[in-house]
Amino acid sequence: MRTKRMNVRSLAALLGIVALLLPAAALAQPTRLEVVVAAVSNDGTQVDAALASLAQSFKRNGLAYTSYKLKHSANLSLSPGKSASIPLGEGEAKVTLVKAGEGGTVTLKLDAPNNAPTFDMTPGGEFIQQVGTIPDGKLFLIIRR
Amino acid sequence: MESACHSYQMLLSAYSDGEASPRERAQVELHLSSCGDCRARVEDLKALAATVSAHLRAQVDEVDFSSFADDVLKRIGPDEPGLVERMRICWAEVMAYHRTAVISSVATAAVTLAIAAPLIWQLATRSAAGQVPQVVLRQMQLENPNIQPVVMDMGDGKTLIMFVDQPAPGAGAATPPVLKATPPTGGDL
Repeated sequence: MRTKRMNVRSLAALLGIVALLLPAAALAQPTRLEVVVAAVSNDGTQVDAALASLAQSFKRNGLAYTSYKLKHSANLSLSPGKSASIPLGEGEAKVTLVKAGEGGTVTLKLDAPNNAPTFDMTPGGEFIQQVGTIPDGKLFLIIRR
Repeated sequence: MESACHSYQMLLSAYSDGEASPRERAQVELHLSSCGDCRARVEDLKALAATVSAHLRAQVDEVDFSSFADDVLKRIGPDEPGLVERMRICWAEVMAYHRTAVISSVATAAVTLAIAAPLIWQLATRSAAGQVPQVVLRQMQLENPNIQPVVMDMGDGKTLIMFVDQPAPGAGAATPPVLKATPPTGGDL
């Protein structure tokens, strides 16, 4: 009888420890990011399929560019404190996962040639930053979750 | 004309007259950074405004305003009852002849409001919750202090940081850099 009670207590304690560790395990999961480098200009009318939604979004917000060319695309998997480099043609940018918070929010730091923003991003978020200038247009880096 | 340009026609006029709101100004400057035609149009509008202004100033200089105040005072008629007094009289007449209709209308409006208010509150709360930003800028370090960053919430969880390095001629000196991010507490933009 006593042994049975101890077994039940041990099982309850084990379940309690697992319940406490589960959120920590979830936070330790690497965060998947999609990064895209796009050359956006008024030189021509080529719109790459992967950038069609970006073109629509820009147009909806009053940006009158006509050409959207994909320069680089990659899927990243980052753990807290880890970085990845993104080639920009001339030079590169670096994205660092500063921390993963609760509710799927992650804090990212981007080191671009002209600007180093730190920002929070929840799943479904999309961060777009100009990372350079090209003839009659601009180079954009897009980070999606 | 590009459809994007078409939707900016009204804003360009307000922008060139300095009457656009800060948000509108940021939108126009973003658009101008990508559109040479609209930059030229803004210059034309500014030139036109300057010409009209000079013409009107010349006309005003020719008018004699010395008796303006006297002329206005002469046109003002005898005293009329004040607004409150007129409303009181109006209300008294309505209650005298349409008392039943007024009371039933007020009761109907009260019942409708009692039913609709919770629904409206629920809808407003739900729509506010749907607008939680998916990207929140916490900090930004610029390498070059001379560039003008424009931060825009583009909707659908998108946030855009763009550097307007080709501002409209004449606009850059008059308008300060537009930085429209709302950092959370502790942010140091």
